[in-house]
Amino acid sequence: MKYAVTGAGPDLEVEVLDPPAGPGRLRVRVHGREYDVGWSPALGSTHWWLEWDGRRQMVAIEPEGDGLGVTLAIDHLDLRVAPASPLPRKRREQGGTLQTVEVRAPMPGLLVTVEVRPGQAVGAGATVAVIEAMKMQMELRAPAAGTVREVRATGGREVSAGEVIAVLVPDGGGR
Amino acid sequence: MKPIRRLLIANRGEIAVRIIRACRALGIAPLAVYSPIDAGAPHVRLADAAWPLPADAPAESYLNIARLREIARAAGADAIHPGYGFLAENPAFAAACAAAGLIFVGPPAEVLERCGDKVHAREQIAAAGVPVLPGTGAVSDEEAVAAAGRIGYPLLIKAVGGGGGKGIHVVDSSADLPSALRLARGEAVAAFGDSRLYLERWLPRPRHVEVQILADAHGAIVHLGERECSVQRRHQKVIEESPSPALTADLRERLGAAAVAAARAVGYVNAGTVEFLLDSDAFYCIEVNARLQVEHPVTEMVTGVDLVEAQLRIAAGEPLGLRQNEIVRRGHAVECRVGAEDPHHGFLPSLGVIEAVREPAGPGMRVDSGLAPGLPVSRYFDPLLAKVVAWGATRQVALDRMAAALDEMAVSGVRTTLPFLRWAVRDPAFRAGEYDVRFAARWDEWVNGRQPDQDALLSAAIAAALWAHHRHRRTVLPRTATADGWRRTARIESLGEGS
Repeated sequence: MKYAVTGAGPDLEVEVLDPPAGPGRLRVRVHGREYDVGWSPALGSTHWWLEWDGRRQMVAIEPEGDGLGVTLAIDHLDLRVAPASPLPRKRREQGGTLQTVEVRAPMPGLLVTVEVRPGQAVGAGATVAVIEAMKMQMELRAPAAGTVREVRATGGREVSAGEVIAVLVPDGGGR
Repeated sequence: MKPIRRLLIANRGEIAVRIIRACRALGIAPLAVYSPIDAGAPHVRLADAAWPLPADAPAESYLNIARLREIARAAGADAIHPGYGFLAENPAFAAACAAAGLIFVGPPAEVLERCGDKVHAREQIAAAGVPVLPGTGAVSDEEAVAAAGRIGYPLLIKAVGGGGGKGIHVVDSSADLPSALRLARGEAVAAFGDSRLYLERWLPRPRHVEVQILADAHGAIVHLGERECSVQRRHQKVIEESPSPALTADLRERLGAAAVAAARAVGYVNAGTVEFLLDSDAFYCIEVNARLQVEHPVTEMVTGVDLVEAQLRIAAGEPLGLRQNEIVRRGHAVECRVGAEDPHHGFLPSLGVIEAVREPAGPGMRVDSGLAPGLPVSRYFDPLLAKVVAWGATRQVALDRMAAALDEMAVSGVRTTLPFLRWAVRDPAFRAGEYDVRFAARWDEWVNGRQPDQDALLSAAIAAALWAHHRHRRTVLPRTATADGWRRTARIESLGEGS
């Protein structure tokens, strides 16, 4: 079974070969070279022991959107992995002609205030909202100058990570 | 003198566990409280008994003075330990305890009042001949704008009622002052229920060095040497060590004497910390922290003194029984704070439920932890999960032990600061002891500028492919080492079936 791994520099093809090398061991081919790889659960549903080329390390893997967050001892990589197949990769359609920018909550927390209203012009870096978690307050700023098209959340409410707070139409990006 | 027999611990997490251990050493019955999401937390299980608090929000739980007093009465407690944070430096709470005939394990209310008024405390400390930084008293926004011109930029906004790095903002120019004041007031209200702010000169690259002191109710004060706390993120300490690699013997002696003078100036009683900024060989006292510090274990490791035990004895009215020349420091200790923050995404809080934990051990190691499977990590509380402490005969040995311990540790369920800590203790400048309060900011440059090496890329790619392989295969392959592993693998695969 072949997997295409993308997201970290050059695309890689990793082939998992049958039969496995033994109990808890797999055979993997990368860059035309075959490795005998140890792979077993290490902790919870996220941490795995990976052993190859004479080195054993713990790797944490968590689904992240439609990709995978892979954390090694120090490094973290956002990867995408899919069975390598001749199917053409889906391209995301460009929605409409109106370009918009979303201001999203970077973390779950309490939305303290929303400081803009629809139709309001905002400068780049202007405060759009203030969010609080773990006693820390953080300003969400407009990534570009533009006009507020939509406000989707109100102050005093819990928001989840990635939730859209407001939608802006950047200057020069309209129509 | 009034012995303590039953101690109510008005806190949670690792510090509640730490206090329970001190109780066990002294034969005191430890009594816990818990908010709903902490019902399964380690401090609840380790205590002799535990009482629920009405809700998770701090005002309803660990800041709920009225409920804590009721519980103390119902539990037959004769003393309350506030830990750090929450009510630790709240004079009203200390006074309420005293009024109810309870021993508050910490400084008396009037000392908390004095230390909490940072502006006034600084005047008293300066009057005792200890150098302090230029700054203002509590200021309105208008007064801040006027005073800022005199102090000069960049400057610091700090909360009068603050501590623990909360409500502190660096302001680079007058244009940024209004929005920084607004954020700082918001944080100050949220964290301390007090919106008052003051300004202070900001040194660009100081080291943060603090001195542990112990003072009894009979006028004896000793210091237990310094802690170097320059590795900070958002003004929160993340790595501390003792002794500081920055001090000469002469400077260390002067700093210790200054700390004792500062403590005496504010009439200090119980365990406390005098914080200084060190700018080459000049030092400035910034405040007296009237509580047990998060980083107290490094001092315990090098002095052998149990600081929580000392707190309990002092609170019960016992004399210190420890003279300055009897405090001998041995070897080197370092502490790393493991927090639920994602170091690869701007250290944003990482919330979730702890699934599993692996904590390190070995010669010279100590882990103070509040972690347990099933524990929710919520937005209500501080992100600190556990403190990993390493002792060695030399700094080199302590850091080597720490590096190995951080590699051993793993937490499943939330992202943690472990990758950052692993990076820091291997950094050549840190290893050489040459770092200041700007050190941690280098992580961001490093993370953003770095292209992981070929080995790391290949490891990650292979791991990602094997993970996907497991999800997509119906049969369990390969056979894993433990029954637990089997179950986990099976569960993961069944999750993958639907997709």
